[in-house]
Amino acid sequence: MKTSAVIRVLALVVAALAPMSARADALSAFLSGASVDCAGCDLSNADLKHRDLSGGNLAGANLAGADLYAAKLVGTDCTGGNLDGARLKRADLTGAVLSRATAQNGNFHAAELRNARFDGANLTGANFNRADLSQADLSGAQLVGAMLYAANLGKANFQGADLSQAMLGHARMPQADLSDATAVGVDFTEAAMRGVNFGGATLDRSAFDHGDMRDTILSGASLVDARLPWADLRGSDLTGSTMTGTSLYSTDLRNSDLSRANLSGAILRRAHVGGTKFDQTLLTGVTMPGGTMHN
Amino acid sequence: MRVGRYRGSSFAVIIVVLCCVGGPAQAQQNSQHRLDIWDLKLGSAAKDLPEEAFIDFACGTKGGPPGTALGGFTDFARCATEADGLHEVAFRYDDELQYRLLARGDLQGAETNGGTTVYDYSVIASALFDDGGVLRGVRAVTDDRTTLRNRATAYLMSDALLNRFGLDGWACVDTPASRGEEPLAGQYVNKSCIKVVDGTTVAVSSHLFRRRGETQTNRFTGQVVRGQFESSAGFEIHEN
Repeated sequence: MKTSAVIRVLALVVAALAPMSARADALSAFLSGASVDCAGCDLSNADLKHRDLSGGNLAGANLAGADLYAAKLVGTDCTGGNLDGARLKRADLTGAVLSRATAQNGNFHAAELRNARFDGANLTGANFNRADLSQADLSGAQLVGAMLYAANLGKANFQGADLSQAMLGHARMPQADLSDATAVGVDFTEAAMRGVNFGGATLDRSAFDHGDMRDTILSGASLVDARLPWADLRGSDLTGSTMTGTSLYSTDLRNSDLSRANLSGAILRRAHVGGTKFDQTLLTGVTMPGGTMHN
Repeated sequence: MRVGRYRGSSFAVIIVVLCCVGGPAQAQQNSQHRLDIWDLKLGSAAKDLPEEAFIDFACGTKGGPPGTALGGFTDFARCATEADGLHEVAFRYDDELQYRLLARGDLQGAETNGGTTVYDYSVIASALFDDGGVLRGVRAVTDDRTTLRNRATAYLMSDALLNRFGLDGWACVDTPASRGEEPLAGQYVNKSCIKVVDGTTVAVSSHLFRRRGETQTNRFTGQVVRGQFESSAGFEIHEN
């Protein structure tokens, strides 16, 4: 073999090993606390409790099963990272970026997540109870079976997200955007939802009992077999919505717009309908407020 | 002032049955043990305590409103020393399990596993550290921020505590009513008990009475006045 060929092969080997070496150095510096950057590192099951990783770059890192209890990740970039089963309980992730990350069954209990980005993330089964997700971006995220009980979701963006079977009881979500979201079988009981945009969302079999839903947008939404007893929907836009078999028992619909909605088989018994618009509303088989059946 | 030995009442037996038998069984049903004040071992260093099991650390005020917020037990030195040289750090029990159960609609489970309680009585709990950061004592005082019904029975927490450490061997002092104090529903309780148990001194107190000026009915309007009474209990355990 000629010398030049040997040199060329060695150069290729060195070039191939260089990134691995750099990653090992980054990992070493990160674990020692000297650095907050460790993009692409394997940090699975790492003990990172109380660590301040603010402003760090952990994009693509494997943090599966890592313990980040009360850690500080303000503005940290975790884009595309793996946080499956990670514990971020009481962590501060204000403004953190977890776009396209996966955090299935992750624990974000009582975490600070204001302005965080979870767009396109897989958050199936994650625990966000009591977390502050106000103004967070969860558009297109998978939140199937996630827990968001008593979470602060004010002005959060769930556009196109899948929240099926999620638990949002007592959540505070004024002006949140759930347009075109899928939320089948979701528990929204006693949630504060004033001004929420549910336009075009699929909300079949979801429960909104006692919810504050004043001024919500439900135009074009599907609420088949949903439950809205004692919900306050005053001033809401329900135009073109599908509410077949929906329970609106004692629901306050005053000054709301049900034009072109399909309420076939719905229960409106004891509902408050003063000032409600029913232009071209399909009312076949509806149990009317007074208890009579509409033909 | 009367000094006597405590005798357990039938009420105390009921409380123990409810709290000690029913409580843990229910907790076991929910398959997770929530750490509480009894899991704080005296003699432990602040840094070795199970800090993650507790939240909302603050300088304590002997059952009063929380003082300066703290990051954890290890911040004990930020709290002023009491007369005995100890620093009081108040805390609440972790609420993750309670909220998981609430999310799933298990209200009974959430109640069993929720709040900062001692024998199902809501309390303000605190840990007492010496200057070296060693846990020398714990304290709990019933929390008035509860329903009127719960506050009315708060003084009964002492019965459960006296039972916990064995009914015999307590040195109890019944303080008679001072001027203006009156019994509540025919009962006047103002009792303090002390007992030495396994190298520790346990002090338990209970109070049930109306203070001067507190009434059941407004004497001008004749309307029923609710909540004008003192009903509380507390305990402290100190290393000897």
